[in-house]
Amino acid sequence: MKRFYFISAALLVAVFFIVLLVPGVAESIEVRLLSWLSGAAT
Amino acid sequence: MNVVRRVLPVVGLLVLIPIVAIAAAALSARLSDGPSVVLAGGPLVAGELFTGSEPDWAFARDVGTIELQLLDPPQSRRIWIAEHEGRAYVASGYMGSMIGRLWKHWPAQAERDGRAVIRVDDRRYERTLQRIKTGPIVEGVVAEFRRKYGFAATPADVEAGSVWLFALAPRADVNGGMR
Repeated sequence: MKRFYFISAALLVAVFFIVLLVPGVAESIEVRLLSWLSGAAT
Repeated sequence: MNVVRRVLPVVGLLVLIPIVAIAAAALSARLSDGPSVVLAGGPLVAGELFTGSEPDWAFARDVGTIELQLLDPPQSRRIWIAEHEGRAYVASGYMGSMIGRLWKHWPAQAERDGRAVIRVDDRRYERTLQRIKTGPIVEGVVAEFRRKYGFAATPADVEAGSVWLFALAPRADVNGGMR
């Protein structure tokens, strides 16, 4: 179980830095967020 | 019980991944020059700073959205613009609802300190946001927002405070001039 938490924490840190540093990823998330918001609004 | 104990952390991780991803995207936008479509951005840096006499804002009739940055706090967002009788206006809806109070902080911030920079077609303008609640101008501005965006607001909404209307007035500089 300890290993699971360690891997999870590493995964979350990786997700954070990938979104922050890899060009286009943040924009892609924003497009998904926008489509979700517009879907929820209608 | 054992199954729950095993599944719960996995579910927690699956919930946390999109939350962390959205938080990182929001931080990325906050560190950028200007806002993205949904997320607030950082200060407006690029673009020539307009100087000179007050322009006729009639050109804003063909502008879809502008970037608006307050000086305090220095965050920017994308927003609708309406022109009426040569002057420019911005509006914020949902102000009477819980969603608006949770989601929109900039109108209250602008009411406290209206100094702002807007960017329209890669040109920056220093402005002062002045809230308008009543007066003959409200009807014309609201009608322009309705024509341009289908924004279903009325002068009564503005007066009641469910829609906040701001004039983008020129900013008086320290020497008393306008820019």
